[in-house]
Amino acid sequence: MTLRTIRSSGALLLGVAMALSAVAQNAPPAGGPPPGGPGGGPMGPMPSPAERAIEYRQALYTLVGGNFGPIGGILQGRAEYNAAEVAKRTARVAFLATMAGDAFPEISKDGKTKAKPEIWSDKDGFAKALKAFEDSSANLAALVEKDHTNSAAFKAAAGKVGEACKGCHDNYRAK
Amino acid sequence: MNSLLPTPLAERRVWDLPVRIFHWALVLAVLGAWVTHQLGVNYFVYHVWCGYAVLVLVSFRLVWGVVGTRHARFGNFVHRPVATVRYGLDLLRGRAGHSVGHNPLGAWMVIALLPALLAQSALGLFGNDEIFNLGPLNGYVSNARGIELTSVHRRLFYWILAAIALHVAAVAYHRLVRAEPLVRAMFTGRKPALAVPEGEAIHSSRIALALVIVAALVSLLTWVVRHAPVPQTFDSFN
Repeated sequence: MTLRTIRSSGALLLGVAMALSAVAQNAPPAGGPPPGGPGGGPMGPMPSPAERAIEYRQALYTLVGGNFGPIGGILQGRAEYNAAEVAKRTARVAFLATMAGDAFPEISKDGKTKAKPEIWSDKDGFAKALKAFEDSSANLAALVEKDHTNSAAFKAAAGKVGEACKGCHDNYRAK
Repeated sequence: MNSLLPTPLAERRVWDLPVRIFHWALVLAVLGAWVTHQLGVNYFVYHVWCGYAVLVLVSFRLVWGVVGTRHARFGNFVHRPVATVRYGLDLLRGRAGHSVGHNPLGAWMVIALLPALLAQSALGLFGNDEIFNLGPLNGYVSNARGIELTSVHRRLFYWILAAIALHVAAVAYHRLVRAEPLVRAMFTGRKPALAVPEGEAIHSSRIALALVIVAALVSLLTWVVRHAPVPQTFDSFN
């Protein structure tokens, strides 16, 4: 290595160090209150347990919708069948379905939610509706593992999941 | 049949063929839309087809209300509110005369139902069932707006159902109490000559004009649907 390259790499290192210290100076001081902490911050007041439960549930169903929507696109002819995407999304929906049962704690009954009180007053009916979602989505994911085509069996199995969604929406979700 | 020959029951033609086909096709399309909705999320494609049919039929009827035959024209059957109320009162007293085309109350049902069905079918185009079905024009609106419009679509149905119930009840009243064969007239196009002065009868259905209008409306709808943007979902294949 020549003297010249040692000098230039030294200058480079110095430059990197200066840049890093500049970034560090702009960072918030360590140990300060987290945003949105008690008493309110830039994010507003701390959400209540009910609000957090509702937010959790809605996040879960946002993911269900985001992953199941494209399957509907295939059934409707809006999107091309893509085996890798279908496998990925049906597996995700089946997994998310196993989480749905835990997303309806009684504290999340009141608040900014479309969840109807019947979810908690008709526990057996609701459990059955959730089980239909879990079973149909598991069945779809299992089928897609073996059948990588846009077959009648795939369409029927995906349709069953859609029916399970509707069964629950019709009875346990405000319109 | 040669329409110049007197018919055995002395009837005169009032409703042109396009009006009659429109009426019964609309009944089938609305019924089909309801049935395919009841059947569930997997029949959505057929629900959309029924909606297209309603949209084209109602749009056609609105145009036909301007360029159609005598009794199909709005200008010839829509009476002012005062005259309509007077007719309603006469009807209750059993003194109302027989109308050649739509009676004044029936006319207002037409004026209520056509825009309601037009709005209903247009709203459906932007729909989102929040499961996996999207209306063909959903790509024009945000996700939240699509859900709002679907909510209106859902609620408007009940108003339309009420209007249809009232319409059917009124027709039944005219048949049973006043012995006016309105349903038969909507099939045959003919009413008893007693209720139709000779100069009021129609002699042509203007079928060629009707076909041109329907073809134009179908082309327009096809063009609009084909050019709609693909809905931008949060996480899609695109």
